[in-house]
Amino acid sequence: MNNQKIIDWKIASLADNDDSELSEELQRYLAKNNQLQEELLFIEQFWTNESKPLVMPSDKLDANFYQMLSRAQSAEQQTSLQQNNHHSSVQEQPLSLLDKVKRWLMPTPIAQFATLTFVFVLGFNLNQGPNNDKTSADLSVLQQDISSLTTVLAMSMLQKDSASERLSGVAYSRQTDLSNPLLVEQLIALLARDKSTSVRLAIINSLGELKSFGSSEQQLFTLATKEENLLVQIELCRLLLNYGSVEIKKLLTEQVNQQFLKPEVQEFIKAQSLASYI
Amino acid sequence: MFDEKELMFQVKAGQLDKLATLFENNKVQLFNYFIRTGNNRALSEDLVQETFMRVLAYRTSFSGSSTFKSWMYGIARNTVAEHYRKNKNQVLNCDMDDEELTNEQTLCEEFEDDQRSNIFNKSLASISPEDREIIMLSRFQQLNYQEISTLLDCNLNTLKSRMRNAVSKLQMSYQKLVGEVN
Repeated sequence: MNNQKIIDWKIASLADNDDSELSEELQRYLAKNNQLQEELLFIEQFWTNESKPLVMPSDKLDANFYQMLSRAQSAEQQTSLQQNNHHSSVQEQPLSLLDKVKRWLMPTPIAQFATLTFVFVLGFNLNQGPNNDKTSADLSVLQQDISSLTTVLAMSMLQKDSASERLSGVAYSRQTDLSNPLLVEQLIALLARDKSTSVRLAIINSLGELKSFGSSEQQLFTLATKEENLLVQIELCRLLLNYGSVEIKKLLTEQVNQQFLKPEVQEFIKAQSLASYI
Repeated sequence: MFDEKELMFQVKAGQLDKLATLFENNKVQLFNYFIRTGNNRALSEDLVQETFMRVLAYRTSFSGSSTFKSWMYGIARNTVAEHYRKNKNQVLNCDMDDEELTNEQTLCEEFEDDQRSNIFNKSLASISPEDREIIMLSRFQQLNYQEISTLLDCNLNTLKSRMRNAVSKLQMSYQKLVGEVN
């Protein structure tokens, strides 16, 4: 019985389930029992032995998961849309006069009405004032401040360890219309080295907002030609074919002609070029 | 650090994007759980994907009575069991063969740690899947006793007894292998 208690205690303490001390009585018992000491030594060695480093899954797992999540989100949105339609059709049934009056006296419509009135009065007064230009200038400054704050937030999120936080960073960066060159630089740097395929695909998608890549175009071209992940490579080529300069498109075509790219990517570029001729 | 239970409740309430955080937090551990239970890389990735698909599908059944990890590993166990029920001819293991000891390996001091680690892995692979699982959940997946007992649907005393037996079998296997090597 003492053996059992001591072994249970040892396993539990190693597995962080128990941080209590062994009672004096059991300690004395253990000191006299060599075989039990050997058993405990084995358990300790097994639990503290450095295990093999964790095996990392491939990017395909990320890509499949985020694809599945995206499908689920669209399905969820459609369902809630249908439910809302259903709700509104149910609510369209004729209400009695008493119900209508009750509805108008509920706190929500009153609050909505008060907010609308407030916004209307505020807008009316602002537009009537003589310093209309000053107000719009203030508004513009405010918008710039918000954009700067979002840029800072995006840049900070892009440095996070978790892929989902970096994804949020990419989403924030889109809200800033990518006017800050430092942010664009950070996005491209992350695109070159991020482990998560979904983050990289999101960055490529966001870079499409730029329409023209300027000095970053050559960097994107190098990334596209050197990229090992097929999905990312194809998306990079699509980005350059859609928004790149004529020179870059020519360079990509040359890469295809000289068969420097993977066969799938070559096929893709050929199909894109064909589609653009049509 | 995120409160996983809270995140799962948000997923349950319809904020499906929160599942991405849970996935990022757990994918590597879960993938290694499948690898350690004797599945190859490709299948382990499929099983992780399938587990999270089920987490999403069964999200409304998450009650919060156990931790998210415990609930997720319950789904993972069912996923792998169902996979082998459907594919009866498929034999467990592939990567575990890598643990095979070679008698040419010397027991020089500089290799002692590696050697011991190999023998531990080999002895773990040699005990029954039930015993192996209980040790793995505690030792490698770092689930606590409460989480494991919920997952295996047994009380704490039964769990302790099963753990004791499993460790005892592991030790017997280890001693046998050490004898073979020497």
